[in-house]
Amino acid sequence: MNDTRRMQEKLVKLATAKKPIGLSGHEISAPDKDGVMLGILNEIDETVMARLLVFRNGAGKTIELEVANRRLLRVADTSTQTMADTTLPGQVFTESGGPLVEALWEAFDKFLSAGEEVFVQSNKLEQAPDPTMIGCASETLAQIWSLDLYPSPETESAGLMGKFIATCTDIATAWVLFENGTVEQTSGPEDQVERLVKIVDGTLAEFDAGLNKHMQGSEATRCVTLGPQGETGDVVLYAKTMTSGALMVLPGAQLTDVISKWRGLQE
Amino acid sequence: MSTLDQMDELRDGFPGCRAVALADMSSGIVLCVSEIEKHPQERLDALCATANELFNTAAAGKVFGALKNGENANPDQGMTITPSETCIFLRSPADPMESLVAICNTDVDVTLFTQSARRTFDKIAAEE
Repeated sequence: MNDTRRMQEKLVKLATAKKPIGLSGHEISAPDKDGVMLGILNEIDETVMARLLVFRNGAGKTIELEVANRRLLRVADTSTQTMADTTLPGQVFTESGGPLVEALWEAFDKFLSAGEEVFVQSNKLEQAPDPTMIGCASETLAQIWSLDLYPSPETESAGLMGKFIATCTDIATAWVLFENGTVEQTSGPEDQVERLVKIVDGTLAEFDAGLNKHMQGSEATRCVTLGPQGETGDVVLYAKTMTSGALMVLPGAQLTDVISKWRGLQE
Repeated sequence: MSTLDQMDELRDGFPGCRAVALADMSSGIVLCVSEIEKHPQERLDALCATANELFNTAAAGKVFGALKNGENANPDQGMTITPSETCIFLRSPADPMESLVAICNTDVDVTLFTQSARRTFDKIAAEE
């Protein structure tokens, strides 16, 4: 299932890729640095034939990685412009990773400091890699960098809802975050939170089921608002993706902003 | 100005608005539609049913009740947001079983649109 989903994501990525004019390749897009690093790891993970992956940041600088069989073989010598203060260019990565992996993380951290926009191009290597080079597997890199290369759909959806809530904390009057119908986090005035929790524990499933009858195609991911309420002008917003969801009270005047944040996370 | 003319005028004021429909929630019938391109009847019927779900069911009333002391009041306005569109639902000020439903692109300012739609609906209700 994970492989099918990843293939679907790849197809969407290829269909909607933005790129600098005159270059082939595609953009790695993510809401934060960890997300971009995960995107970079995915590029390594999806490269089977021996290739030179060229990552270009918003400032036009590049890091170039020699990759084969889903393994990082080495940082290409041509990366000296971005790696001048490291010993990485030309060094071969080993199966266990070692200190080179940490050094590479730091180099990417600096590389991404110009903004999280990264463009990747896959080129042929000028010469076939030395067959004795084993390289470091994408899974090993992910483990050392504490990134989840193959998140479960549940993990992904929980992360997304958490990010949504995080973008709305300054706006929402009160909110509850829940997973599989169980409230996990709350914020706001006690009586308001209590009402939201009661809805999650009781009525929300019925509300969802009613919407499922008529809003086909949105059973897994949904965002619905009710209101504003006459006296306060507040709106209640219900958002869910897979088994993770949020119920939020916010001022009606902020609704456009919150909708924009929700959409931004869906991209 | 006829009801349809008013709806055309509302839609024309927002280039990203693809359709505005007047629906009777008690019968589930769409009474009239102003649209840029024809929408399948099933789509419009589903939107009418969604309006009923948001405005008239006990479940929606309880969710809306989160806003004020747990009172089970029913909302007069709602939205459904998907990656490709926003659907805006308004209940008539004159007939609680009549609703206005709009299908808008994602670039429509929903706050401005809702204000205009509310004014249009007030005019329609006053002329009925």
